[in-house]
Amino acid sequence: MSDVDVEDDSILAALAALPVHEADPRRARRTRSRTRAVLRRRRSRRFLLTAALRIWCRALEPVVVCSAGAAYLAAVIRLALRLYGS
Amino acid sequence: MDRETELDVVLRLRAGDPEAFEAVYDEYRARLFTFLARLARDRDVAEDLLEETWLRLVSHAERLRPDTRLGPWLFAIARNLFCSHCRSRLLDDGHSAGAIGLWPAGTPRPSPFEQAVASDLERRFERALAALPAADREVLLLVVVEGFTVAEAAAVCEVRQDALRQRLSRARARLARELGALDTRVKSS
Repeated sequence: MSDVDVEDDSILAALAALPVHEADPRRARRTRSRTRAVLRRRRSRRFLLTAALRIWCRALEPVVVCSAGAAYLAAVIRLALRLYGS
Repeated sequence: MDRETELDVVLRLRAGDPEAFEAVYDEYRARLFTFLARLARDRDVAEDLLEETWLRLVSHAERLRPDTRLGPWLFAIARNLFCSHCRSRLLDDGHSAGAIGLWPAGTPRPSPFEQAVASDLERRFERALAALPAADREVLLLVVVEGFTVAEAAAVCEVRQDALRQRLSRARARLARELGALDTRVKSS
């Protein structure tokens, strides 16, 4: 809501009361369909990106697990050698 | 649209929800078109700029801040597109680059709504508004017709609040003068 006092000013009050108008309905339909197409493209791109990322993470998971497992094992062996080694 | 609904709509717009876009479209399409048509004084230009405004919204939706106020955001985009249109029109008209200002000079054209208005009073106001410089018109349209606060309108016009208040007062005085001049012309004819 405006913080300018429009009601007490007859000129501004008359200006504020001017009606709103609609754009050409054919243009409005075209605008709607163009914006819908943009939204659809964005959604499908996001879907594809998410799917690709998910597949990539799944594929990488065993490698990460194996690497982490190997690193853990190596650390345990190093510790054991330090404690009980000659 | 209350603030809570607006915040929810912004979140859904960021997620690419088509229904959120429809809600914004229904709320602002006539208001934006009326603003652009009164600013540009040309229906076709207003319709082109309106379409571009909506395309900007959907292509920037993901980058909207969660607390975005959609009204000022959309009107700022529409106004910036109108400024760009004015600059490109000046270039097309063969003006030198040094002559490019924010608003084109030129003879005042009638408002596109003059033919459509119902009463003489509305016709007088549409004509007087169309005769004002665009910088005055935009301030009156944003603050008086759209009901934006001075802070919101200043953000849309990219000026300080005190500068906007000065512009508003000047625009109101010019509008009164134009209305007076119109009355004088009607009486003398």
